[in-house]
This record gives sequence, structure tokens and C-alpha cells, in this order.
Amino acid sequence: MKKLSIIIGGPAGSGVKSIGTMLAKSASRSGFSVLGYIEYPSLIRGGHNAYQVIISEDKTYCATKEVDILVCLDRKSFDLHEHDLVKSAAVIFDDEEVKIDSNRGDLHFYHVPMTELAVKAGGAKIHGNSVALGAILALVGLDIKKAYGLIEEEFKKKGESVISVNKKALLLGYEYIGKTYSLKIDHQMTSKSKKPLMYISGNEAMALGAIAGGCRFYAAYPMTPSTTILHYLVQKERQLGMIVKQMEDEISVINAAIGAGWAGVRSFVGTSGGGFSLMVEALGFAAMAEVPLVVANVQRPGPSTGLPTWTEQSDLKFVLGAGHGDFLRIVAAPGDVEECFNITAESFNWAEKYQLPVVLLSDKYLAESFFTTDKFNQLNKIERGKILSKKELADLEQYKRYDYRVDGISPRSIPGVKGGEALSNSDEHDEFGFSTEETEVRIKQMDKRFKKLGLMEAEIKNKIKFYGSKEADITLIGWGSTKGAILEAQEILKAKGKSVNFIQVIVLAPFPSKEIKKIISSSNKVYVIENNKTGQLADMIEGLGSMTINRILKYDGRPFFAEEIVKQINNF
Amino acid sequence: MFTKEYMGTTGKDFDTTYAPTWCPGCGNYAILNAIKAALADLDLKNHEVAISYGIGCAGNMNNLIKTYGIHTLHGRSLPVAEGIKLSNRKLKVIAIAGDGDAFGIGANHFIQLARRNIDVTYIVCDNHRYSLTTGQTSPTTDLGDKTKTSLYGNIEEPFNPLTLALASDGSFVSRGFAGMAPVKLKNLIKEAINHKGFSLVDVLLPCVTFNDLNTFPWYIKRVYELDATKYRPNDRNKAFVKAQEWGDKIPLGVFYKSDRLTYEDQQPQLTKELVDQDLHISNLSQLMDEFV
Repeated sequence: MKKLSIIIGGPAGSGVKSIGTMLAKSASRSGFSVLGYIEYPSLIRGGHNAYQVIISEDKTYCATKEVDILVCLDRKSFDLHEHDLVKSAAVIFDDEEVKIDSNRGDLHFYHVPMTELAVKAGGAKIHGNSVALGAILALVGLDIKKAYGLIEEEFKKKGESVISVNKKALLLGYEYIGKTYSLKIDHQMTSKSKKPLMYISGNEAMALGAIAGGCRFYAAYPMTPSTTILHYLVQKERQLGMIVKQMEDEISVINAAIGAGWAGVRSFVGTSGGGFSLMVEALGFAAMAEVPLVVANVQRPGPSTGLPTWTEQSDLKFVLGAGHGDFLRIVAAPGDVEECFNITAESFNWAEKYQLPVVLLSDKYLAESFFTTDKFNQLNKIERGKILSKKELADLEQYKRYDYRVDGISPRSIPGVKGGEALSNSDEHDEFGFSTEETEVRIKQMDKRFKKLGLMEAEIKNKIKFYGSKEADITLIGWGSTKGAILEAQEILKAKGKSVNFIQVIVLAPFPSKEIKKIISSSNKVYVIENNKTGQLADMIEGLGSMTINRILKYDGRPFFAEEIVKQINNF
Repeated sequence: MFTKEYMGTTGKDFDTTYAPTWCPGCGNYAILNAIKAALADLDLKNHEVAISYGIGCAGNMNNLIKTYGIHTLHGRSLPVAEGIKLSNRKLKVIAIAGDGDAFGIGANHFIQLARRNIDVTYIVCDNHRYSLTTGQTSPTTDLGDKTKTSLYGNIEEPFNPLTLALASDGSFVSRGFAGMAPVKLKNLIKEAINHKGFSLVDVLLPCVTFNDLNTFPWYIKRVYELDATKYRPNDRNKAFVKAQEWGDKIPLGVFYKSDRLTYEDQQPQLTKELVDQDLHISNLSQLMDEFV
């Protein structure tokens, strides 16, 4: 697979993100597949930000350690990434501002006087970013017209003079490379896609999925890396007729979402591990009162405050077991942006049909990286489950909110509708919802709630996705955002003659034990790949009892590279 | 004395078939009756009202009023009420909790809803104890009072819900008493429900089992009605001073009332209530175009 890995590095606030985004979209609008992976520390100015843009002909699955082009807006960027630069890699920098010295004689240094050219374009130092972008486009051979279009869109509100300065600066940077240097990057890639591709992050895809899934109420407390869901939905609130509410803490967030769900509105909550910790009591409340609820835990490294701006997937067991007492929940983990959209949309159906909490697991890498993808097709229809209309309620002698049903799901009434007055209760309750302490009623209600499990197991499709052939020797297993790296590792191993299949676990509760057991029973070696220290999914699969599970674990706050997985498999 | 003319309606339509579990003599009976009578007097139908209950003796009112109800978590009746109101502003939303629930674990939500002026009526059954858990000190327990967890006398300055409501820009701040003339308590609750915005009714009541200090006789010696004086509830600063009166004289009634926009009325996108909206979205493709 041909790809080009470009990193733009610099302090926060220096334009790393804007150059990276414009570069990525210049490529995506030219029909290339692009992955944008951003690393940033927990601060607002200074530090070191790195925007990795991976451009390829075919779909790019994951970040990579190797760097072909490094754009240094400060010296630190060079020092931090020097050892990842491939042989003969290119380094772009402004040597008036940034002094670089290196022992590597193989590197190609492209000095571009960003500030000088910015001023020449009629601008100031900040416009050096457009100069840098122009230089990169020239080096890589991307169409400058795409970047002009992006500048026009980006600075539309700031007016014509700002647009024209940026365009001039871009052109000067572009021409400077052509005039000054003869050696360009010969990547031999041609753009494949003719369709318009979105360049979208996991969080944005989840937000779109919620909108498509009929969500009208979103509540959140700002917490990295979930906050961009809030930012996106707040922009769309008025246009879509939603309520998007930032509240005083995560406890009020989830309780308000339960109030909304109870009142008949599809509600959604976004947070990260620490916020989810505060929501645990209410999770049980939703389950006991049988109120629909969808919560997204966009994971980051823990425990406690951990690494706020980095990635990990270490909340699996927590989310599966969160809440005191016995109750059911659905837990699902999308592995790419398309799944972020479709699974989120479907989760609202699950929540309303089964009248319980649904937890979606994402992580910083998936949530805040950008991926090119076709515009999403909405696969699901909206299904609201059993809700009684005014007429149906009128026909009943007496409405019982928690009446006993074969499938465990009692029809709901929506507050405000005549005849459906009923009590939803966090206490154990009888069919009417009244608090009770009677043994027989307790058993019947608990059993009723658990009857939903059979239905969920039968009705929820695609709990796993399977890639490869059942006869393969080696089985790789993963969940969530490791999907991309594992798929790429699978390809690398296949190219080396290994026989490999891959189980992506998407629904973690109810857990697809049968489906997984069936596949691994015919494997010779099983590897579970996870971004956590203890191997949480690995423990669950080991619990299925059939065989030794090898663990490939990473918990340094960074996403897996395909090469790392391959290396560890070769070492086992 | 308790003629129909005096009491008005009794609120039978809001009765349930469940028997209360409160101790005989508990002030909650009077509060319950006043709430049901208020709802009936206001011509509200059972299905037009949504009540969010906290946890505790007061929260156990959940089984006793026939409306749409949700028995929530300790301290969380208000955020649930907020979610309900934002989803359907046509519902009359009431939250009922005890003093521990409302002013201890739930205090932050109290401040925030007051600030936001969400149209919820908050009826707090304030008996200065955590009663259902058998008599611990609560945020409103009097200084020096001995309880199960203040063996040598409470040394924490009591929480004042009225001053905090005023400090949080509460638009309706009032205090009731379970030993008030029933029609007066009913009328106070009616006024609170009718007020557009966040209304606090802090209803004092004895806990006949765990509170030997603030008994009915103790209160009756001290309480007086504000509307029998020259006091007018239209000045927040004066209300702040009045709200600090406690001890020999305990004022009852409306301390402060003003009209300001509610949070939910400032949402121009709610041309329809959230609950009445179509769940399908017609311009998803356009939203996706923005990412190209």
C-alpha cells in the first residue's frame, strides 16, 4: 500500500491544526484517502502539537510511526520526531526562525522563509502557515486550487482581504519550492476516488449518527476527548430543533437525560471515563425504572485524571459491570467512523425497544482523528418499541407501567398522554410502579427485566465482524479503534504468507460468546490486541475456556501501529 | 372549621390506592393533602402533571399522588425535572424532596435550576433531619441540636435555603409550614405552581420520631405570616434580610417573587415541544456535505 506520512509539528496556538486540516482536505478533495491523527498535550498554548496526515491511494487504516515529511514550526518538533524520519525524509522549516542541526546526512532539508514570504504577501507572521502549506503541496504534488477553495471557505467570514493574503502566501510558498529545489517527493500515488469524500472525526460521526437516530436532547459536561460532540451539536441545535445542554456536572447530565427519555424524547449523553464514573448510580436508575438512555464513553488513559489528551481503551470491564445490583445494559464499540455513525443511530432503537441504558465505547484516537469516508448511508429505520397511544390507553381498564410480558418489555406511556399516568420507580416496584418489598413481586419484576436478554441476544445483529477465512491458523481479536491497525497488520502478515483471520467484537454486552468460540475453536493461535494494561477483552475470551490467549497490549497513550502488532506476533 | 368553602376541593382525583408509610402525626400528611388540593383547585388533569421525587420520607410521597411520576435518586429530583421540562413545556413539573436530599447532596442542582429559572415547583419537606435513615443531622439542623450523628450538639451553621435561593437569583422564594391552616398551605403551593419560573416552597414540618426540638408547639410559638404584615415580596435585598430571621420569629409565606424569562422559553428552536417533533431528519445529506 502506497502512502505518505506527513507530520506538522509546533507549539499549540501556532497553526499546526489549521495547516494539517488544509493539507488533509487538499488531499481528500483531490480524491486521496486521508487519515489525520493529532497529538496534543493538556494545555492551551505552547507544548508540542503534532498533526500527522497520512495520504494514500487506498483506504488508510491506521497511524504509522514512520514519517516521510516533517514540517517543523519549532526546533522541538525536529528533536521529537527525528528518529521516526525514514531514510531520505524531507524536513521543511523556516531557518530564520528555527535552527536545526542533525547528524543525519540522509535527510533533505527544505528551508522555506515562511515569515519573509508572509510579509511579502501583505500579511504577518501568522500567514507563514499558508506559506508552509503551499510548500508542502508543491513538494507532494497536490493541486493548489483545492487549497484555494479551502482558504475561501475557512476565511469567508473574515473578508476578502484576509482570503487574498492567505492565497498569496500559499502561492509564494508553493512557487518557492519549485524555484529553489529540484528534488521533490516521488510518491507515485494517483488519486482513485471520484466521489466526494467526507473528512470526518469519530466524534462528529457519532453526533451525526445521533441526529440520524432521532436524538433531540444531548446533555454533556466538557471532558476531553468527548467535548467535540458537544461543540458540533451546539452548532446544529437551532437548525435541528434540538436541546443541547451543558450542565453543572456529569450527575445532572445523566439524570436530565433520563428525565428527557422518560418524557418521551430520545436523549444522549457524552463523556469520558472520569465523567462516566460519576454517572454510574444513574445507570442503574435507568435500568431499574426502565427508561431509555444512550451514553457515550469516549475513553482516555486512566486511572483517575490519567492522560487527558491521549488514547486508551481501558474502561471495558468498568462499563460492563458499572452499577450496583444486577441489571442489563447494552455495550457496543464502533471501530471506525462509519460504525460510529451507524451504531450510534441504532443505539437509540435499542434503548427504546429494550427500555434500558446503552453504553457506546469510543476513544480519543477514533474520536478525534479524521478519516476520509464516503457519505454515510443511513442503514437503520427508527423503531420506538412498545409505546401506547392515547386510544390504546383508553381501551385499557387500568394501565400498568411494569406489567408482566412474555418478552419482559412492558409498554410505555408518554407523559402528557391521557390514561397513561403511572409511576416509574428506582425502588423495586409492582406492576403499577408502586414501591414494594414483597418477595414474590421482587422476583417477578427482576425476572421480567432479565427476560429482555433473550430478545437482545436474538435480535441484535452483527455483534462481531469477521475478516478472513474460518480455516486460518491465526486469529486476531480486537474491539474499538484498534480495528484499523489490526486490519493493516492482517494484510502485512498475509503478504508474508501467514494465514490470519480477524474478529472485531462490536457488541460487548450481550457478549457474543458463541460466535467467538466457534471461530477460535479452529484456530491454532489466538492474539487479543488491546490498548490497555491488563487485557480486559482477553480476560473475557479466556473465560470462554477453550484455549490460551496471547496478549498484545499497549498502554502508553498512543494508538497501535500495524508494525508493532506484526512484530509482536513474530516474536511470540 | 374545615368546610368545603374553607378548604376548597380536597384533591380526591389525585388519590392513589397506596397507603402512606409515614409515622402518625408526621407533617407530610398535611403537605400531601395541600399538594393534591392545589392541583385540583388549579383544574389540572392527572396526565398534565409530572412529579419528580427524591429519596427519603418526603420522596415516599411518590406512591401517593396520581399523576405521571418518577421516583428518582437521592439528591437528583431536580436534574430529572429539568430534563422533563425541557422535553415538554406543556407539563406542569413539580419536584418533591426532603431537606437532606435538597440541601445536602442535591444543593448544587438547586442553585443551578434557580439560576436558570427552569419552570419547576420545588416543594421541600424540611424537617431538619434525615429521617428515613433514622435521624441523622441534616443541612438544616439547628445549631446545638443533638442528633444521632451530632452527639454533642450540631456545630455546623445551618443551611438557609431561602438566602441561597435568593443569592442564586431564584424568582420565587417561599416558606410554608405543615401546621399552617390547610387552605393557606394549599394557596401557597398554588401560587408557586402558577409562578412561571423556578419556585421554592420550603415547607417546615416536625419529625415526630427523630426531632425533639422543632416540634409543632415549638413552631407554633414562633411562626408568623408575612402577608399579615406590611412586608412586600418585591425587593430581593429586603427579602435577603427577612430570610435570615430565625429563632424567636420565623416568617412564613412568599419572601420574594419576580418575573424573568425561563431557560426553556429562551430556546427559539422549540417551535414544537421536543417530544412532539418528528424523529426523522430531512437534511442529513446536507449536514454531511459540510465535511467534504
